[in-house]
Amino acid sequence: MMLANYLTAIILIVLGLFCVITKKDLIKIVLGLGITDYGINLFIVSLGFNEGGTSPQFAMSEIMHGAYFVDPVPQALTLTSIVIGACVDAMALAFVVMLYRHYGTTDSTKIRRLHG
Amino acid sequence: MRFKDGITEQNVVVKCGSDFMLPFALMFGFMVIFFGTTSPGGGFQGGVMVASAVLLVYLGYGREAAQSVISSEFIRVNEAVGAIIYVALAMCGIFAGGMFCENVFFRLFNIGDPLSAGTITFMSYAVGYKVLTGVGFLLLLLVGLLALDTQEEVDA
Amino acid sequence: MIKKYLSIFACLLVLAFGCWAMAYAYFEVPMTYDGSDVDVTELYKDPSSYDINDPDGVADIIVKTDLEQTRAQNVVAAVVFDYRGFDTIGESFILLAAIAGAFVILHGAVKKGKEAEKE
Repeated sequence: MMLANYLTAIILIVLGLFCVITKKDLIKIVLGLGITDYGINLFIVSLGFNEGGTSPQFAMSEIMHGAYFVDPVPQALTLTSIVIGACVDAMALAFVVMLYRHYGTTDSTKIRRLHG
Repeated sequence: MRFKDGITEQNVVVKCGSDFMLPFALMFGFMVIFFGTTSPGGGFQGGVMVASAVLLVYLGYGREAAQSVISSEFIRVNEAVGAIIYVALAMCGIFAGGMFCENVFFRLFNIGDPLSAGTITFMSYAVGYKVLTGVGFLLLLLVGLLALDTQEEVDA
Repeated sequence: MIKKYLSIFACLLVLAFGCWAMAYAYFEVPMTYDGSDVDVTELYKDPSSYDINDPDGVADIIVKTDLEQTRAQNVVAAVVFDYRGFDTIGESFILLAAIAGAFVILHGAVKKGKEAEKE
């Protein structure tokens, strides 16, 4: 069951890198950067899975007698990674807005010279 | 309703929908922040849920209403206050004789209370406050940019 | 034209190798933490009844000692704020720096727009 998660993660990573390399519109490049981040986060979370385990909370109203936990450490590290991905997207989009105001276009082949 | 400079005024159905969903979003977000150590959730998750109130107000009432109801300067200052409170809580470990970021309050309560985990709950509140104000300020900034295109076309 | 075909061929090559690597990771690599020998209800009744002489990795020690040393019922929140609290300080500062940077970049455009609106 986790094989589907792993294959989706590698497809997302390669799709994001393909968008960054090939596309010419600036907003599409920023979207590709975001998709690569989501693929990596999915891969890290899927590493710590155990068949039949429950989520790692000691919530005694819901845990039955024979339950066991999945790995809590990859889940905690993915939280940090999600926040970093969101921050990178925010700054990249701020750059795109300023470039559009300065040059009047979002085509990356026309933004070539260094204005003073 | 003109789309060129953002949403200025909406019709009655969208306004009523935004009015209806706003208290639920705020209350659920604050509950996820408050019970951060006894049920799934915590500071980061709840902070983003409360910051979605800015977008709900913008969708229902327009750009001018969102900028006049939520003041941008106050929220920008409070984001740094959240970071300072977090570092001050982490320094409590040094003043009590232990390490940096050590848990020093956890013996005061029992297991099962919302405040039971000591420094973890207070750090979670500080991070929730910081994410709330930070993401809200970012959304307000990006919404306020939508009006500037028509002015340059009028001037040029 | 040849550059576009070359980049598509390179991405397909990376995708093929990645799929083989993920199939290897699913079938051959062992699990990171096998927690089926820890009885969770007994640990909740008596938080100091654990034995960490022969641990199965860091996650084993964290799940067993969490209720006694931090009294937090949410193990993920305890890992983020107590066992790995220093990483969370760094991430907090990343959030501050990113939002401050976006504000600095867009501040000139917002002020020019407000002055043009007032005229």
